[in-house]
Amino acid sequence: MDRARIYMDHHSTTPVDPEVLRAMLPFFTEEFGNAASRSHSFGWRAEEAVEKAREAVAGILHASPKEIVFTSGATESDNLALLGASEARSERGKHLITGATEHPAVLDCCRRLEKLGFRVTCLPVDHNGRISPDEVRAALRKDTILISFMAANNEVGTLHPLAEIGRIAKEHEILFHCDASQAVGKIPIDVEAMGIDLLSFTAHKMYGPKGVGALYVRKRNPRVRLSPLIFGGGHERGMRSGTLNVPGIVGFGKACEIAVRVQPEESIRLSGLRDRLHRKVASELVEVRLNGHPELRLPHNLNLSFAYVEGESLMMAMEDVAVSSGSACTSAAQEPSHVLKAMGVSDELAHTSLRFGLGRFNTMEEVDYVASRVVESVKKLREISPLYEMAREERRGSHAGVIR
Amino acid sequence: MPGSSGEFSETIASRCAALRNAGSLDPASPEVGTGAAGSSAAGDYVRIQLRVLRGKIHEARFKAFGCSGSIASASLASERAEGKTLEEAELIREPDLAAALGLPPQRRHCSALAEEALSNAIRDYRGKRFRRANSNSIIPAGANQ
Repeated sequence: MDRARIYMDHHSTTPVDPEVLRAMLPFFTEEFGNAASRSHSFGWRAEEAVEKAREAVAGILHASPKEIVFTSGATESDNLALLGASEARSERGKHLITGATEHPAVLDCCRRLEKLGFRVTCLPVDHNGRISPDEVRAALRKDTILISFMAANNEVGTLHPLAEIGRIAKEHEILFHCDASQAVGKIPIDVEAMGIDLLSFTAHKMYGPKGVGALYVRKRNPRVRLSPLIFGGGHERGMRSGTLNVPGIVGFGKACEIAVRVQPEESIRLSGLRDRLHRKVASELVEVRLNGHPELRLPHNLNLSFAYVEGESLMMAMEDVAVSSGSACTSAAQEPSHVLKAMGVSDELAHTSLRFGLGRFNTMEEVDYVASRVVESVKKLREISPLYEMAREERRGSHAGVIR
Repeated sequence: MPGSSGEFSETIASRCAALRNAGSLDPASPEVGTGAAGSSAAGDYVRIQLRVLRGKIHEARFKAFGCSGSIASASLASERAEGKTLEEAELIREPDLAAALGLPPQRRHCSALAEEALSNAIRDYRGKRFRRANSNSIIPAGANQ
């Protein structure tokens, strides 16, 4: 494809910021040391760089550097938090609480825990995708050991009431794990103010490299203990063995440093662009529905359903624009998104949803171009949609020729 | 978001761009057979319509709600049906559509829907002829085919 491609799928991944890349490069070549080598300067320099990065990574969460465990990414962090904390706490109880719109990295861990004899309560969300703190309270049992809720949903951007959930967890001496992969660097996260004990996130969703993430593990009040999943060498205070990904960690640290610096302004800029995109599309098309909470959501997220037009065909119609769809055409029956389903969106409408994720390098010109491509493509596909034709005929009050 | 859409074949892309044979015919017309397949809740709903004149498919039109593979399959099936007799059109089958479009195995339901909609359209047209023939008993059922 010769035309310039526009990337608006930043919930999926982000490009590495050039400043991040510059910080990483020396650690592939001249500073290639193993951070665990204690006997020479190659090791010392690598360790020093890792510890500097650890401070930046802790800083963005208002945590202390000793509370950061580096992992391969948010999925591993989720696994370590859920499986590791459940095993370590299994003497106290075997019940966990989570939500229906969590990422598969959390839900699949819960399924695994169920196989191991734990019980998991999966709470429903309201039509905006929000968890109610009252329902969290009502789901508590004497043997509840851990609750896990995401900071922001990866599909619709809805924010959960973290501070309220954290308070409930504290009152009942239950651990609170939060998958904040989509939120860190986009909205302020404070593990103290929010009462979070374990928090997963990853570099590649915030303009850092792929393959590196972190788990925040609270050190005091309470001191959280985890059973490790990976053994061999006792790196990361025994919680995660394995030679550290030094260039990745350095890049992660730089990405956090930049995010802290630019986040306040950037979130205003992005929500402005996001609203502009929404306005432009909704003013030229009928029956466009916003999925997710209208206010309490990520500044760069826009999830829209375009009635009568299937999402994958819409993405294909505007191939030079990278977005993602809630409809996955992989098997005989297309499974609509579990998130939209949990929010009560009908299967038909869920198949028509598109997720736009704006990012640091998107411009207003790109937003305007994407809006015009969406409008043009939806109009074209509605013309060939039998559902659109039926709806039009029904509106005209004529049921003649309607074939279902 | 979960899942991936698989590889996009260039044939699917170019066919979706052109949308050959998209449109509708009057379903109430005695010359028109209409067939549908799939369901909107499952993410794919395809409709094919045929206008039959003197035993031959004079015109075929499709409309589709679904992924690009379903749209391309319906477009191709309707295009191939044109100019054929109903018996010839019945030989338009899913594997041929899939092969022509380069559909990967996990997207074969797209071509299956097109075959099903086409065969339902043929059946609808034959049903209409049969009913007309019976209400107007001068011409025996099935004649002139």
